[in-house]
Order: sequence, then C-alpha cells, then structure tokens
Amino acid sequence: MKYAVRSILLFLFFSSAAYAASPKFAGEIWAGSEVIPGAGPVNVYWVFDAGVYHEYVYYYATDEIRPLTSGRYTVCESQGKTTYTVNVNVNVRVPAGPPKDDGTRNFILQTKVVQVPFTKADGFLSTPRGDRLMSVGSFTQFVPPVDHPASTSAGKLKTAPDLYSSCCSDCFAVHDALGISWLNGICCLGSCPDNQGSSFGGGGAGGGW
Amino acid sequence: MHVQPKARGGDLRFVAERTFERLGMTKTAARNGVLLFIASEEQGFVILGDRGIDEKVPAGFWDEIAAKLTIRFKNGEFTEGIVDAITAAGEHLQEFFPRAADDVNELSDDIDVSDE
Repeated sequence: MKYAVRSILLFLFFSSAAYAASPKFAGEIWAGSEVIPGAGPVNVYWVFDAGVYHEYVYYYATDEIRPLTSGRYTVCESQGKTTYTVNVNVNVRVPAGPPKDDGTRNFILQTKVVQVPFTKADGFLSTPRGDRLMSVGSFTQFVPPVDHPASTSAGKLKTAPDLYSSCCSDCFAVHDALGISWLNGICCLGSCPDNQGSSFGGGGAGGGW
Repeated sequence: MHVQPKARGGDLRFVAERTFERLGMTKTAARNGVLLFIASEEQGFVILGDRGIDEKVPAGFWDEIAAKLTIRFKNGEFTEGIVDAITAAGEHLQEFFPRAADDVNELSDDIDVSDE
C-alpha cells in the first residue's frame, strides 16, 4: 500500500513538473498592432512552438512579412489588460560594429493585445548597428537558431508588395494566408470593423452542387 | 475564373472576395471585374461582380446566373455551365457597360488554379 501511494505521489509530482515546464502557449499565435517610428503601422506576430518562439513583423507600407527574432521562451504570461508591453531579451551580433556592441538587448514593444515576457531567449540577429535595434526596419539579416531549422520556413510568409489596395484587405489577405483570420481584429490598429474595410465592395451570388 | 479545392480561412464568399482582391481585380478603371470562384472539393461556387457593377445592376442580378449554374453543376455539366454563366453575365452587363472603341481588356481571361 505504501509503495502504491508513493508511486501515485511520484507520478503526480512528475506530472506537475512536466506541466509546469511546458510552454504555456505552445502551438498558439499571438499578435499585436502598433506604430513603429519610421516604419508606420505594423502587426507583430509571435508564433509559439514547443519552447521556441518566432516573431514576425508585417509592414503595411510594403505588404511584407519579415521574420524578426527567434529564440527559446520559458515564460509567457498575459497581464489581462488591453495594452501591454512585450519585452524580448535577445542576443545581438553587430557585424558592422566592434565586438563590444554585441551582446544582449531588451527589445520592448508597446502592443494592444498581449504581454509576452521572454526569458533566456537565445535567438540572435544581425543588424547593421546595435544601436538601431529599436528600429525594426534596420534588421537586415535573420539568422535562425541552429537547433531549429524549421524557423527558416518563415520565408514563405513574404507577400508581394502592393498586392492589395487597402490596409484592411492587406491585413485580411495576410491573415488568410497564415490561417489566422480570427486575428483580423488587430488589423490597421483595430480600425477595420469585423471583416469590413476590404477593397471589393461589390456583389454576387453563389451556389453548390 | 479561379478554382481551388477548398475555401481556407473563412466562408466561401469571404475567401472569394479576398481572392478577387488578391488577383488585382479591383483595379479596373470602371470597377467592373467579374470573378467566378469555384471550390471544387467543397462543391461550391460564388460569382462576384465588382463595385462598379453593383452600383448599376438591379438587386438580385447575379441570382439567376447562380441558380442556372447550380443546376448545370448538379447535372455534371461543368464546362457547359461555366460557358453559359460567363456568356450570360457578359450579355447582361453589355447593357450597363457598352463596349467603347478604346476599350482594353484590363484583366486576364486565364483560369487561375490553386492547389491549396
């Protein structure tokens, strides 16, 4: 009996430990909408995948999604508010600067949707200058973590420039391609009511067989 | 005309409208592009006319064309149904958009096919 009870307790202990260590948002995509000086309005997406996150920025100005950072995450917590701060701690390599410019940076975003504090992030970026880190548009090269080659598939997210004719339809189309149309509420800083705001505006009829 | 197996990311009408935009069909001068969107595996279709058409034609303009196309498709007459639908749309729209001497074809007549 004692052995059985101890086995159950051990099972519960390890079950709890495993649960606590599991990424809270594994398999989910979270997103925010914000304005970056010099780049205009952007959407930021965090894709959580088995302890590794991939961060993408969608630029309305160029109709382009760029992978921004990638790294491990161990803590992801929402504060349950409307506006949050995202604090991403990344290792930065600065090829154009002296070695002392390399190091850890905190990448802080104000966003409308979520707060996702990352710790022990080990993704790394190459930028022309480390001091431009807060300017998202300055990121010129993405180097995925060597132990997670799947992150290189981000390239398929890139869309053709000027493909659509309105901010909302741009965003809707990108979300459609990503399979995250349920996030349309963040499009254009939340200015698109539901799925309205498209450039279509026509009529039609349908059927089936 | 666009054909894909299923409408991903929303209902058929929503995906058809996004496809209309994605194909650049809203960029005609008179906003009078027409798209026949077919989701083959879902066995559904939507025929869309752009804003310029919608402003001129009476309500329910597309309903008759869609109804006839539905009957054709149910009978397995896919090619004939599509040809008839496009012909009917063209004939009806002549009344509202008569051909001018300097008209140019602003949109491709090719069939756009997607595997996804």
